[in-house]
Amino acid sequence: MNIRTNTLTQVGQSIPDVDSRAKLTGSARYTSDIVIDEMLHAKVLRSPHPHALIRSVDVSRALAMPGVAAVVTGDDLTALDFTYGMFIRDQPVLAKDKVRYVGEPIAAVAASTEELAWRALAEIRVDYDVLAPVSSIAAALDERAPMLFGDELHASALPPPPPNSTWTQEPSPNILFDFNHGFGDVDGWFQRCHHVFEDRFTIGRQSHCALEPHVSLARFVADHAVEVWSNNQDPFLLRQDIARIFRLKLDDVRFHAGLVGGGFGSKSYCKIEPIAVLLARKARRAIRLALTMSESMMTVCDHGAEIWLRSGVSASGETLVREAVVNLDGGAYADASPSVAMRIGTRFNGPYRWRAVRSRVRVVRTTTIPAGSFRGFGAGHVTWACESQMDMIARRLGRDPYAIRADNFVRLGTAGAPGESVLDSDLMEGLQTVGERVGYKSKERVPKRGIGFAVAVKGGGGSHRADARVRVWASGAVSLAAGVTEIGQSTRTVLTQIAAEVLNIDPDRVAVEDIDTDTTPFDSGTHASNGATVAGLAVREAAEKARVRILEFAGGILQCTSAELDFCNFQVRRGENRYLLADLVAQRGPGVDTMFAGEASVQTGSGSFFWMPVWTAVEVEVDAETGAFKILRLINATDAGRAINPQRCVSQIEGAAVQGLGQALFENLAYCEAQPLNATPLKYRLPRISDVPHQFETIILEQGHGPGAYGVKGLGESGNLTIPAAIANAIADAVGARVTDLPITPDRVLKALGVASKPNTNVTRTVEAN
Amino acid sequence: MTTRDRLTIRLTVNGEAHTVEISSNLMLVDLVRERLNLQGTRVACDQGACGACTVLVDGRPITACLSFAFTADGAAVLTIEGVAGSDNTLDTVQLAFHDSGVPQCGFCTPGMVLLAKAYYMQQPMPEGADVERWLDANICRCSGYQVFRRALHSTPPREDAP
Ligand code: FES
Ligand code: FES
Repeated sequence: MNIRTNTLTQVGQSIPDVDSRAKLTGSARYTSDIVIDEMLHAKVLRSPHPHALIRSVDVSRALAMPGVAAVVTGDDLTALDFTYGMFIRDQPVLAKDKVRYVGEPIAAVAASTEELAWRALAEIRVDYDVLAPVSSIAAALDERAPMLFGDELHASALPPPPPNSTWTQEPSPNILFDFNHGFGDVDGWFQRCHHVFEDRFTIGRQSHCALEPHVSLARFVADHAVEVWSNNQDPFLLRQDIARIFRLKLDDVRFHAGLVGGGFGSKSYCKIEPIAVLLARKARRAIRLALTMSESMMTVCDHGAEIWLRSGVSASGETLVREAVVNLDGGAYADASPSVAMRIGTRFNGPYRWRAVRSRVRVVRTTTIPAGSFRGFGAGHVTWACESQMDMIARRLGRDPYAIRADNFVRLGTAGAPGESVLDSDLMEGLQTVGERVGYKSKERVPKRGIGFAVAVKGGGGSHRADARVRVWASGAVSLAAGVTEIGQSTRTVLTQIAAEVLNIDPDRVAVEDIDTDTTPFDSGTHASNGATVAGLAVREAAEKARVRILEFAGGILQCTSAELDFCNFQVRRGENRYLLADLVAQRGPGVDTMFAGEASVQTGSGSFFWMPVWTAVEVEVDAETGAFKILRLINATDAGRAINPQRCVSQIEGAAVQGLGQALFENLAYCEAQPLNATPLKYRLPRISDVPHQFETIILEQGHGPGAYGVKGLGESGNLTIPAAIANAIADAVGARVTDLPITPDRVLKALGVASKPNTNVTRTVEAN
Repeated sequence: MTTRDRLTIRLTVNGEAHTVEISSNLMLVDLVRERLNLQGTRVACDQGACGACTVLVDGRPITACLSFAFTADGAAVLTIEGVAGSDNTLDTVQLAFHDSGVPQCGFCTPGMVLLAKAYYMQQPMPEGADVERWLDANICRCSGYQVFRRALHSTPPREDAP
């Protein structure tokens, strides 16, 4: 295929998001705006108990209310394959016999208005046998702990373990998944290394809090065929789930997806869609099930975790051997936890070279909100522990935390661990960039002020299939179809720019189709920052095929080979001559298709298709009296490979950084005893503009090694990973206090100040380059 | 089921006069979204915590999810649909947001536009720090807020603010 190599006109341009005007004027439409004629409104009854047997559910009074059309409970699931979960299917569509967390759906009502549906919920009588809760990892692992499940294994669809790994599904009822990974002679290296450091880190639960809560609409178009609208980022995976659960043929399930009001992981994989379908089937009417944000917060959250790291280094600080033990709080049900555990377990080498690494990650079941995917998919957990410890090791050895990182980096073009794909970024360039920007070498030390660094590398785009179709009409319009969901990452814009680049046209001419699984080319899900990279390759190839078809057609009319022709602005060019494509088509007369289409499919392998690095430098000032601290400067750099739209890259990285800032400073979905404390937007603290330091800089490097079209690679999940560790490291640099629990609250800093042996460890900033 | 008071209110929305019969417990956001079919106003937290539902009532930004519709009786309400010119030309704030690349998922965007607009309507000579104090009322989960700073520091003060 002939990809032209002339200078790029669209790629690299910071055009506004293609939906920018619609979003600014209020004409953009989201799933929450969809109204179907005659639709009913649904509401969900949720468990007030963390753990209880359901003796009976009496819905008769609710059903008797005028305007209530249907009520569904666990009893309606009997004929269905009624559980779901990404790899291990342990979550029932509605609680059956037992509830396992506060907020678990027990029943759902469909009524003529939302208000009536709310009122009907109050008329449902549930008789519970309350059981002891299992509120924490420690409680779940206790020998006498109550069990959330029986001994039987759930249905599963686990992929083969990644290289050098093994896993066990549900080794005991309160442990969902036990993942083990390793390479090299761990025990031998621990004996041979000079220093061994052992530290423990914890991390609270973060809540996604996308502004658009989950919403699904469903209607049966025949007894056996259902149509669903959902603000989920996996329409094609959802189609499979609904077909399996309701025993329908795959092609009798049709999913629609339009603009999604934010996700950050909360809208991946099956969520509330089966409840809407179940009600639609029972009521024989269209159903709209819209959650409140509080309900969304009780649907899924990120994993709380405890992480032990034991790391061995040489006398000079060469990273040699590491062992990690992780307990993830998976909440009541699997959701994406096994996959998150695998990602965590395989990433403890981080951005450094190690001779041997061993890890064990267990997903522990507790009677709390199910934990699932969250931006970074566990990479934030790994980075919090590893990048904190990297600093601690440097300070203990009296070495410069900057230099010890530089010394141990995995090099561009080499693999960080056996079986991994090679690194496609130059880590040293990124560290130097943020180091120079923050003035690490040049700045004079000021008391109570410190600078901290953190670096991470997350894999992206693996095991993914993306198809695309590009259609060019002679009249001057282009239609682009791909299955990547637009959740605010500007995929529609970036794909438009790629198509416009190939076709040599103005991006305004391209319209991106909304997703409809009946007509949109397949995509295995908007995950792992793969949109621009993997779908981008498919779009480029599809557009190139359409272009070739146009040139071949024109060659037929102009009696020349297509190699003599070029296509630009809907004109075919031959030397100095210009022919409007519309005129060429008209010349051929009726019976000629006026549309030229190209289709393409891209499948990536199982490892990381690309690597997302992020480098962070933070400067803080700490008040040693109170433990309060102020972030004076935050510098975040990443590598886009090639930025298709630099402005949209900056948006992603800035937004991710502030999500990381929230996690570092205050975000924590907490439990008091067995009850959620702040699973509601009024009580859950989210970052606001006043939390963001004014000196907040984002740098998008374009190192050019990405595997995507024009060298692009994804970056959307990188920007948040390093923020918490960089802040903790800066605090340690300022006052010697080391906080190892997230969030880093002033009282934790104060407590750490109490145990800090010296007020300042006073590391010399040597900056030994390379 | 309880019977509720019904009442008739008169208000203008985006310059257009409306007389509507409502129940006393109808929220302003539902009046706007469902009765008047102006769906650009968003409901996110539904608790007054995020500002996604911001509309202007007599020029003052309020969270429509937390305001009863009857409180707008006799008022002039401005929703996002009324901000751009009739030929869909963007107003100053919208243009500044557009040029700086503010919208990501876009769910907070209408509320942010109206909040910033209210500020400029009240403060013809804005100070950067002050507009930030106002914007602190609303949440954007996608952006890092820095884009709002870039956008608004480029917005000239409007003397002709409506
Ligand atoms: S939706 Fe009204 S303040 Fe959040
Ligand atoms: S753009 Fe998504 S919440 Fe602001």
